[in-house]
Amino acid sequence: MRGSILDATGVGLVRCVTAAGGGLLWRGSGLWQAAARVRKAFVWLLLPGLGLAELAAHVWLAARAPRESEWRELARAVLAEKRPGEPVVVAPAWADPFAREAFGDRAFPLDELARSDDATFTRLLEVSALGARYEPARSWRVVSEAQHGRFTLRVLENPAPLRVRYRFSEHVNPRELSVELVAGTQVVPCEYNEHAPVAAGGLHGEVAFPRERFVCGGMPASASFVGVTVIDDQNYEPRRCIWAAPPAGFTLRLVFSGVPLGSALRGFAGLSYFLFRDSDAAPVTLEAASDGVPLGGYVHRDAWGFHPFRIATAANAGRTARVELALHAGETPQRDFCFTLEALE
Amino acid sequence: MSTPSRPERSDFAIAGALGAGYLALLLGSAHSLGYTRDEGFYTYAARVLELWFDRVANAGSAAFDRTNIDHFWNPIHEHPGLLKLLFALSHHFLHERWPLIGESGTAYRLPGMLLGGLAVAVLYLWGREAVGRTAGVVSALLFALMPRVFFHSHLACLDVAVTAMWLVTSYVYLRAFRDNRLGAVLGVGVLYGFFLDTKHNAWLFPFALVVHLVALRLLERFRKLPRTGPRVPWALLSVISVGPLVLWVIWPWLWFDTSERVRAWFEFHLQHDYYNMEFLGRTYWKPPMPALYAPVMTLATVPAITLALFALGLFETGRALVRGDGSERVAHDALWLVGLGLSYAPWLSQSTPIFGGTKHWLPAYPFLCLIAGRGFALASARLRELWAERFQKPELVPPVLAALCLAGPLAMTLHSHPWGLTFYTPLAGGAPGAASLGLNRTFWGYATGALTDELNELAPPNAAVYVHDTALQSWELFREDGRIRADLAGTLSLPSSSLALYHHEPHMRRVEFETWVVYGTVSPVAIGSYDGVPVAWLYARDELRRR
Repeated sequence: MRGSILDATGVGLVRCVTAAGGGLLWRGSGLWQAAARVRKAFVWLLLPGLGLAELAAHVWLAARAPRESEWRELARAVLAEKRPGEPVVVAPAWADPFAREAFGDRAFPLDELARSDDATFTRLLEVSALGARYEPARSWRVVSEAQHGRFTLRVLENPAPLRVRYRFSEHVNPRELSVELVAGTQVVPCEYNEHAPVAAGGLHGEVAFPRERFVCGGMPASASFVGVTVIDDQNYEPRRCIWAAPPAGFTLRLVFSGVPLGSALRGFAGLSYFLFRDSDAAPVTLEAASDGVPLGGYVHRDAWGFHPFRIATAANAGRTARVELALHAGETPQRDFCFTLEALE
Repeated sequence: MSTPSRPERSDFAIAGALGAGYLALLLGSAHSLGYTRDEGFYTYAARVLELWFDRVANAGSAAFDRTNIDHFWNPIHEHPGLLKLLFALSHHFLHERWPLIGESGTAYRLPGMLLGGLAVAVLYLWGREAVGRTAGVVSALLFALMPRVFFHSHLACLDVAVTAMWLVTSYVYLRAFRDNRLGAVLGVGVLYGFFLDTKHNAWLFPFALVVHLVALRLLERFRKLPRTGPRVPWALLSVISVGPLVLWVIWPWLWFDTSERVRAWFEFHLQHDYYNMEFLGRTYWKPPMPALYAPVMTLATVPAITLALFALGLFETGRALVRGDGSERVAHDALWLVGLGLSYAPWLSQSTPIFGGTKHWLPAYPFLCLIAGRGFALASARLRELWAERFQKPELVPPVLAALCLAGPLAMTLHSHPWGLTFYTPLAGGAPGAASLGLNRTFWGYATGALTDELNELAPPNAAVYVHDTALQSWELFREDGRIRADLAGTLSLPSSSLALYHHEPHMRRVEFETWVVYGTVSPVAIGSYDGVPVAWLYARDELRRR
């Protein structure tokens, strides 16, 4: 094994003369043995090679993602591009806190950040790092694209946005909404309070109860208000919605005045997914009516998470009407229902 | 490279140096690591035991009556007492009485670190005995330089402690089993009692020994090998009989209502609550446990070179077992394989309650590293042969190969600190890759440690800080050690707080949403991040915000 490759090849050549099979010519040669030795050495050298390759990969990967300071440097460009009603989306999604810290609340109004979905938005401003894309809008048209350091800013256009005439969550105020609890002949009015005590239950507790809300007298705190808050959906994403939890034995009635109706009412509804993901409690029913005429309804089950629904209003299209929403869940307590609703064109 | 043989005096010196070196590294880096949730609970239990020390000093034997034992040993009684007692002793004597350790938290952490160092030292000794000196060093350092092991070795928790106890008890058992000397046989039984008093993983240990014995005897029979150890496995019998007795003696909680309390101990862990755990983009919170969880998380958190050496060693070990390469070797390798397999087994069952992260199979890692040592020895021998064909000084091959294999784990481990639970290996794409894959970024609320400067700077005097996943007892450790201003109170009430911490896990996001509504902002004022991945962040009310 210690002979030179040439010596060995000489021996191999002699073998060539006597060997019968073509394959044996090569396999019997010293060249083969030398090559085998190189291969063998190479195989064992793979191990330290792997060690060094892993070290190099670690160094490269550790420096790959943009740092907090780079997000801050991007703020000016993002805020220059940001238009009202055009949400900022971040890809990869896990980098979103950097974007919120760097760009501030101006770039992330809560109704945009915790929107139900993208269907009603005409445009999005995508902030992309590491080559990631915002997948729900992958098929949207790229209106503009600009590189800023390690980021790409893209304005994306929705090919078929739904046109919204009225967003119910923007009208949760005493001028446009009245709230009451009804049980048979008993009617409990819910008064609007701009300075109600803010509450939040932590991980296992209630969602945040906002300062401005309708408070229903005589009810336990968790079942006594209507107001706008944020719940977690089945992917633990934020969803801004109108909290309207019907107390056991009561129907919670919300009456919105001056609603311009169109083809349909489009909504989403859910309970905090973390709290109710394994609940099989009685469903919550939402019934909609316009000036006393039933429009339709939706029955929600807890395990669905934040779930879409639609109520046709084509027969009332073009009318501005009073819309009554009646919510009830029978005798089941703690139906922490939260919903969004939009009147589509 | 030396051949396998019983450790010599110099080996004990090397083992001591490795263990002491690791301990020094842990002590030197402890300050920057935040206090985890479980550390808060264990140190609370330890503080209560420190009060019991006073009771013992003042009341003498009365401190051992039922009333006192029930009162002082009750906190966190779902875990046995040894580590809590060691935490208490360390804090009481090394911080309170003689201020040898400046930080209260570090004093509580010291016993865990010592056991981490002990594991490294014993790994060397066992690797030296079974494989050789360089392989022993490599085994010990591969273990020490697992980023998750390094993280957990800092903590006043039970996971590295039980890992060390499993390893040490296994090593002592094998010697007792093989040599069958009375002292060693009794000694391993006593040691198992301490192992039982560490954490409930110890319940699996006798099963591991039975499997080992059966496998060993079968291999000896079929490969016609001489029998290792006596016909009657006295060491195993000692483990089974003496161990539980020792547990009863050293865990006072069991002195009263023994059977009821033992049953409660078992029931607590066998019917453990399901935790939420993010894995590949999904949060698991009820059975079945994803079967791939343990293998994928091992691949994603243990350096690839360690796993490659392990794979090679596993091949070599398997070959040796099939060939029947000497009963001594078979006895070692079989115990390693059983220790590895038994430590992983619960996490391969879909009915196992979903727990936290990789810490639950840490006891497998020393055995993984011992087998990796075999892989190293094989590669080293082959490369040495090939080197010797062409070049001088083939004796350089093992240390050079060791250095090349250990450079990556060393760099990764040092870089992972103090973000041990956010660290992922290049196989997962590092921390950013793991975040994109949807692997857990943090748990236990320890990342508060990365935001202490901002907290101290932004908080008004006597402010309340919402601590989120940081236990209030852990917050107290931060304050006690001066890492957080003494006037800042931790609170679990978001509305009454001025600043709010958020430690990211998907199922906890609802807490962040609550913060948005209560504080009226979605923009954090500071973020604790690792390699460009946000891990924990801080919210402030309007009047405190920088912008």
